[in-house]
Amino acid sequence: MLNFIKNLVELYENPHNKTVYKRKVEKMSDSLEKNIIYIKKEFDGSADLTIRQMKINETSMAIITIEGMINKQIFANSVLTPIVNCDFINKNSVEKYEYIRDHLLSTTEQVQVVTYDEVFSFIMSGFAVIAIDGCNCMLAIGVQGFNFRSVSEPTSEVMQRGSREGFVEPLRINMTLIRRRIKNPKLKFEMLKSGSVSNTDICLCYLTDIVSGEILQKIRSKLHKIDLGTILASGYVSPYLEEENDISFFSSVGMSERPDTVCGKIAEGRVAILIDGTPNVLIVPHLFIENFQNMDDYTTRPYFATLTRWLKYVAFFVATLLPGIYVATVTFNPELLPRELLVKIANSVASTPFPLVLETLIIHFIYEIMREAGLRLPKPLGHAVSIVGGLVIGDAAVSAGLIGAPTLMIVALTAISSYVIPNLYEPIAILRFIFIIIGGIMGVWGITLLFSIVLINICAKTNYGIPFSAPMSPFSAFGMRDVVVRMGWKTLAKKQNAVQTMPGSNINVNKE
Amino acid sequence: MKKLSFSFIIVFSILLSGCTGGKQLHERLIVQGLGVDKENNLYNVTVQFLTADNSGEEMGENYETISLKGDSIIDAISKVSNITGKEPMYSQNLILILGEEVARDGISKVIDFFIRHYECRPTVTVFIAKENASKILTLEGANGIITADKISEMSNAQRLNSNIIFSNVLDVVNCLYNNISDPKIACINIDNGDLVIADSTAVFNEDKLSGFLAEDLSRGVLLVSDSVLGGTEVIDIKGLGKVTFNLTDSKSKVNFQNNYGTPCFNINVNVKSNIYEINKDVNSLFSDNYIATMEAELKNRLESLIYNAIRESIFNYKSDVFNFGKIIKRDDKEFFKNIKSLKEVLMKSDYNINVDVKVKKMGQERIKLVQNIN
Amino acid sequence: MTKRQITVGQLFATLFISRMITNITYSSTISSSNSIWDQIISSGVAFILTFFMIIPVYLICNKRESMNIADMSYFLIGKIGIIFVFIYAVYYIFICIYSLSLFNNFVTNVMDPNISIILMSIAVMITASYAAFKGIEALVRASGFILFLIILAGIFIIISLFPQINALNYEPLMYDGNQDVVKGVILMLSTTSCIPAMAMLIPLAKGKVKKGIVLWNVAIYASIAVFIFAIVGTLGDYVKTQLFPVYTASMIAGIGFLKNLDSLYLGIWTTGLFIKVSLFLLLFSMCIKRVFGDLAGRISIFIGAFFVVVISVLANSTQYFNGYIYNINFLFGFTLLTSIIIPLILLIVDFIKSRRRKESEKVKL
Repeated sequence: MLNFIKNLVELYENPHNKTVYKRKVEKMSDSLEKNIIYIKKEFDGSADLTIRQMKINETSMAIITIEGMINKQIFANSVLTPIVNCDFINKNSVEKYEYIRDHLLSTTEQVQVVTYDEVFSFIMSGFAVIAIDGCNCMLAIGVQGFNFRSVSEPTSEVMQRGSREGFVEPLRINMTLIRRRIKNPKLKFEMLKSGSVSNTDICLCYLTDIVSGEILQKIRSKLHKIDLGTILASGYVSPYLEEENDISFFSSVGMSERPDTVCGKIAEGRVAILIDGTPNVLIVPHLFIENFQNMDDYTTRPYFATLTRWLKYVAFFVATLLPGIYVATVTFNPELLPRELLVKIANSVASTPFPLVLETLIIHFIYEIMREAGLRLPKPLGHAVSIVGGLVIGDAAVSAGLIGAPTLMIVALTAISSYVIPNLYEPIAILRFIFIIIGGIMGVWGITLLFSIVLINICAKTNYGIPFSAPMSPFSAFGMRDVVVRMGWKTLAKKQNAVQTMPGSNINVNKE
Repeated sequence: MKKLSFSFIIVFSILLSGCTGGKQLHERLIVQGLGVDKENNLYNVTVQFLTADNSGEEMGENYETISLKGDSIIDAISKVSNITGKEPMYSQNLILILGEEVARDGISKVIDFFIRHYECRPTVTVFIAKENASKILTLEGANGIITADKISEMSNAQRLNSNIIFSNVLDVVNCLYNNISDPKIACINIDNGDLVIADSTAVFNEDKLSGFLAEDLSRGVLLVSDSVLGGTEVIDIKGLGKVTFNLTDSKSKVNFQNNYGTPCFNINVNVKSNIYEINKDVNSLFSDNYIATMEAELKNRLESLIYNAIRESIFNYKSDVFNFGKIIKRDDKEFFKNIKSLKEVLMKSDYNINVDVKVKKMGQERIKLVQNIN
Repeated sequence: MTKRQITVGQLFATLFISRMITNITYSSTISSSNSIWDQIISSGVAFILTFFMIIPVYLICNKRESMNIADMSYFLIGKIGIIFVFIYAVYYIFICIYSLSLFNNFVTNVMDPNISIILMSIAVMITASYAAFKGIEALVRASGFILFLIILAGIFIIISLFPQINALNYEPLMYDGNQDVVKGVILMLSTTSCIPAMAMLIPLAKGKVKKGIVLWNVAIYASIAVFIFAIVGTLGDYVKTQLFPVYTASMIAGIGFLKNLDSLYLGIWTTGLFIKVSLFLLLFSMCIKRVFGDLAGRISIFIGAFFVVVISVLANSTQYFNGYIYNINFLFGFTLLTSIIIPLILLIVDFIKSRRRKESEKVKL
């Protein structure tokens, strides 16, 4: 109710914003029959709508639920039994309603609803709604019992030493996963709804004493501009959180399935955006360097964490640039190659029918097909894919002279390197193709110029007033303690900066 | 429309590779060695190159040679494309062998291509071939053709013996363009019909070949030039036997003085040496000061090497391979400005040679060599 | 009026890179001198003279908060100031043309004559236009990364050259007189295009400008001196045969199995060229923006890029144009005009105006 009023106020204050969705603000009638007819009409005979009508001392009552969404045992024990066994003598409808609301039920969560929109929202969230004839309000009771996936380790972010919990689909469970880790009353969850058709719950999560009010306001404003009908995944929302007119391969919206990672980001003044129905939580503002940081860096010893950090940096350049540089040097600048390597590559190029640039593009394309197939295939068939990929495409193609062994080596190395930084797989995959094409057209010059373009693109990005390339550029020597090396926790703990204090940032730290 | 045109650009950009000068590697001739001879006023250029094997199997390196004639080097080499259908690539060239006749005629006439061409690197090792360069590059050894990289490896290994002076294009051009010092280039020869060895150093008077220095004299030049990296000297010392000295390090300092109109070079060389072999009679024992004796013998040997090298190159061949001219310019530029003929000054100069030898290590049997042990 | 968007460190890092690519193209051919070794003295002299050259620009930029030289021209001399703004605009475009044509010269003569100059120039200018379009902040942030790479590559090349230095290659200084020293000073000062750039950029920078100027100047001339020392020591008289001796030196540089470091040189030059051309294209657009407005400023980036491509390709194709572009005296005069003469004129006008203002205030009292 409170959120709804807030949204109405925002709409009034910002009339130029697009309407988020058309909400039904129609208030309900005090006639139970009219209410039931209205609800049934809205659901148009949907099979999962359950309305159980009964009488309590001659007063008609209805319990409205969605099939499969409530826990029937809790509902029977905590709601139905007390109502049935209660004596409502000398009470009118309103008094009966008030008695049920204030004295009778043994549930922990109940909300009074006055509009049909709210009724729909609650019953579709697993609540049971009690309607009494003669009352123009209803009581929504929290007896959720729908099935959901159990909390398990996320497959996309496997850590050696971090927790084994990952986010799940229901928003409320995810909120508890965060709350359990940050036991601080300053941790605030702010609920919104988005999607004109799906009415998806979105929750902003932040620490009120660290987060910047300016950033928060911008996020709210961007979320209110979402004009989608359905929101079924976090990927639907993330483009709306980026800066306008920002064309880049790199996203300035972070994503994670891990509660520990999200909590770490929240503690740095970032805002986590939880979306009901998806385990991926969005985090803003997100900086480029964060793609190379993960939980394991902070749980292992500093020297090893530094090594793995540098492995990731090298892997990023290898995955992005190596095929392009290979094509460019072999085609245009073979003098840059050592003699022994040049001989091997020359033999390989001589024995294959395609130009090197085409050969490299083809093999990368085939690799992407295999990767995509491997993702979609059922597990029992996974072995078949690896056999096809490894033996047939790899070995047989080389033996047949269709592709060269050095090219295959390059592709293999590139592929492995790109998995070291899974967050950047998408931009790396695309940039790799572009670098190959440019390397094949213009050689080392082209590679260098394209690299400069990508660099400018990264440096030109800002998100919520913070430069995307901070703290590397604008340079902060202090920030290097978690970029160039990973200092020990005793050093990191000495001074913890919020994200809005990054160099080059033009926002102020502001309490919510 | 935007997306369509963007896709168009991407697709067609792949086809642009033909406009930008890119060539497939197997369309290039990877030149490994070049030999230049002169016959009847024409240059005979021998090109040794790698051929890319297109059988698709794991192959080693296949070498081929081809000889072409032309009015100039590039004129000759350009005919390679007509025969092989491939464009030569010089950036991987390892060696340049100039025939003796070319060297006597003047190397500045042939060196310009190796400075001017954009693919040529100054690190190419230059050799002078006694007689013909083409014979060396087409020589069949016991294990197949004597390849340019084997010759290059041989020269790298021999550098450590410090008995031949190896130069690259950079060194040669440096000497030619400064008009003060003269080039010195290793001379290679065919040994036993199937081996290529560097057995002397060719010295030049300006850009023309004037003579050859044997190995020991070459070492004398290296000692003065502070370029000794190693090598051995075997001296038969009375009372000690045949002692083999391993030269490990040498530092030389040469300065010039104009002593009342008499130019004088002071050449001071500090040499460190180890001894790992003494061929002595088992029963003979050494005197207490045997180390001093050995050092003195080596000192005498090295001084005589230097002296003979100076006499041979400067007096005999009129070749300043020691950079004495540069030393005069460095130490007394006024005197240098007034020089009319540098070679005459060098022939008139005194050379004070002082070699200081230190024997550092003697291996395992040191104690047994000492006469009296308590 | 401009607001301070970048730090002094970022500004001078960018200016260092744009000067560095001039340093690595150093050759006796460009300076028309015989001995490049004498120009190590030139670097010392030019170091001191550069400080004096910067003074007028520094003073004029400090006169009024956030006003660059274009703003000051309008402020002090009204609409006639447009002439000065245009002079600066032409200068910035000229520097782009000079840099790009030198690069094209290098590519076609030293690297790969088969490559298409037009395609190369278009590629460089597209990249530079994109960077200029993104603005000064993006450019200086990218400079931070590129500076780090350039310094690493430069140090690696120098360290690998040091063992190959032959002391006998160093001839007595000023052996043939001081003409080479003078020519070297003129060349170094004429290619100090960063001073006119500072005239537009200092008002955008926040921080200690004086410290930045000193560090930048020291770094520039120290690097020139080190390069001269290294290339003369390793190449000797071979330098006289080379159009780009630093590139040749990088070809022979190597440590252990790491040889053929010319690829590092190519990387340094290409990225440095990109920063320099983008910067000066951006400065050109800032001048146009000052006169014609924001939209014209943005469009002028592409128009300027087009002109740069056309003229630099022509410069490489014809001797006639070549003579103008690489005429050191012309470049020296133009640099002096934009570094010293125009700022001095504005300083004098400002001084006269403030004197008159004070006198009129005295009269009123």
